[in-house]
Amino acid sequence: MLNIYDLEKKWLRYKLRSFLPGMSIFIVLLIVIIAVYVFIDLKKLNILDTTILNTITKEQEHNISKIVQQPLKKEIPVVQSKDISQEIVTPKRVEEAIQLPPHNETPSYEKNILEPSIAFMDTMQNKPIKEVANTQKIVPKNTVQVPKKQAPTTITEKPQAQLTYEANSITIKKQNTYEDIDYVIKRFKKNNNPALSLFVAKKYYELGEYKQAYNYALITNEINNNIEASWIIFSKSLVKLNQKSKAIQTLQQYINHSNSNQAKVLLKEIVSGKFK
Amino acid sequence: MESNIFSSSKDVFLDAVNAKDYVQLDRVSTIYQSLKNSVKKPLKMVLLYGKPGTGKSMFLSKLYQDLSSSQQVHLYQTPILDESEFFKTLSKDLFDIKYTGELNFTQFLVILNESNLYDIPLVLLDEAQLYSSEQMEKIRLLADTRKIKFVITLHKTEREDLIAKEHFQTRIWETIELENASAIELKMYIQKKLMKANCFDGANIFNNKSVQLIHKITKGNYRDTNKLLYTVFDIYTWYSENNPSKINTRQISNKIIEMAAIHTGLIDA
Repeated sequence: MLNIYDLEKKWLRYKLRSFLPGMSIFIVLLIVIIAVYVFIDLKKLNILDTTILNTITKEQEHNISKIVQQPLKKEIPVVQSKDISQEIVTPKRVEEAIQLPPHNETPSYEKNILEPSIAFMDTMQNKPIKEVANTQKIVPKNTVQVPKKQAPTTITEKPQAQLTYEANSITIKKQNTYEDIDYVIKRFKKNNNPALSLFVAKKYYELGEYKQAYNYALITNEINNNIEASWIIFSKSLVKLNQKSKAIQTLQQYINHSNSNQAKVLLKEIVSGKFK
Repeated sequence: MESNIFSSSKDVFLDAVNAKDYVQLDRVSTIYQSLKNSVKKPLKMVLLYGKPGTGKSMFLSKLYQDLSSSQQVHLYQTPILDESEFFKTLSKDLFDIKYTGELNFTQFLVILNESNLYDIPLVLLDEAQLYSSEQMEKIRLLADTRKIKFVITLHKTEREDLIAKEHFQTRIWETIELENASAIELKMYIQKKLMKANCFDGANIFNNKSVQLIHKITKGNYRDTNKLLYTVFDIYTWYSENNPSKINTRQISNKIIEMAAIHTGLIDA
């Protein structure tokens, strides 16, 4: 005798059981597809991140190259203001860093082959530049409060200073120049972009660190010897390092090579003693 | 469709060996014709073998029905396992000699040699795998006298094949193998069977897909197909009587086929 209700239940169980392998395969496939999709998505995100980073880096490089291409006139007031800021702000270690080699020793830049100094190479390889930057950070608050009579303009133009106007309770913070340089040097070490080394050279020149400026300008010239701004900084640094004749010789060679008007103007100024 | 139509369709698939239910299919007809031809040849024995449910008994039944009018044919659907009883039955049926006491092989051989029959009688033995080896040897010896012709059916299993080899290798045998039906053959079998019984509505509800499912479940075995379809129509009968809205009378439902297969044990649920 047929028991249809029981048979229907058995049939339902049988159907569920027969669907089970297919369902299992479907679920496994679904999981695999989702996993692959997530993996691809993550990869895409990584690529996107890299692209954004690259874009940002390019933008920064572009900004840097803009800075590098700034006219010389703008640099001069900064150099002039440096002395005051050095006197007030820069600790002993920084002063040591910018000290010139003794006169009785033959400086590296006097050799015919233009090379970075050994000390500089050591600095590039080992010396954590942050130390210098950190020392800049430890500036007592009152050091900023320089009496207005002494040098009112230098304080406002000083790149690493932190200015606090308590009366209006507005805090204006500028990023430390040494941190900037440190960051750019790191990036330069990675990609060897002459625009970066030129930026560093210019920044060092602005800060009065002529030896470093000379070294980075030299590196820039070695990478690309057609950058006018680099040769200008190189020559200016030589003048500041009391190597006027070398600077003149370098500029003359560069003018012969490139016929640069800016180089000609600078040469005239050096020869006439206008630029010291 | 009325429930009595399902009921009559159900009866078509009752598992019974009846020559009237023999369905003429191309391949089956060819095999049957070759069997008929073999019987006419001066062969001692004809061996019909195949898996259970492939139609061996039906073949014997059909052969018996077709030949009984023209020659002496005796069909033994159930094996007579007692040796004396077997010979006594043969003696009575072939020579019309009744024995009350024991009749052994030697005594029967004497009767056989003394007989003077014009036609060689044909003995059809179904389910011959049930006979013992000794009895099969004696049947072989009887066939060697060429005074009786045997057609025997065997289930095709590994062991039985071996028996067949040992016993029948040296004899003159005609062997005919019966196989399960293909899906197309099965559809024809189902529809012909139903139409033969005037169940045209029942025959029309089978489409290729439903027959393929039936073939998948039964593997084309005629006995299993009969069993399955009997249950299918039984379920249809129940639904038509108790819950007619649940059935589609124009097309056979796969669900009901599967339910029937579960009920008959063809599907392990």
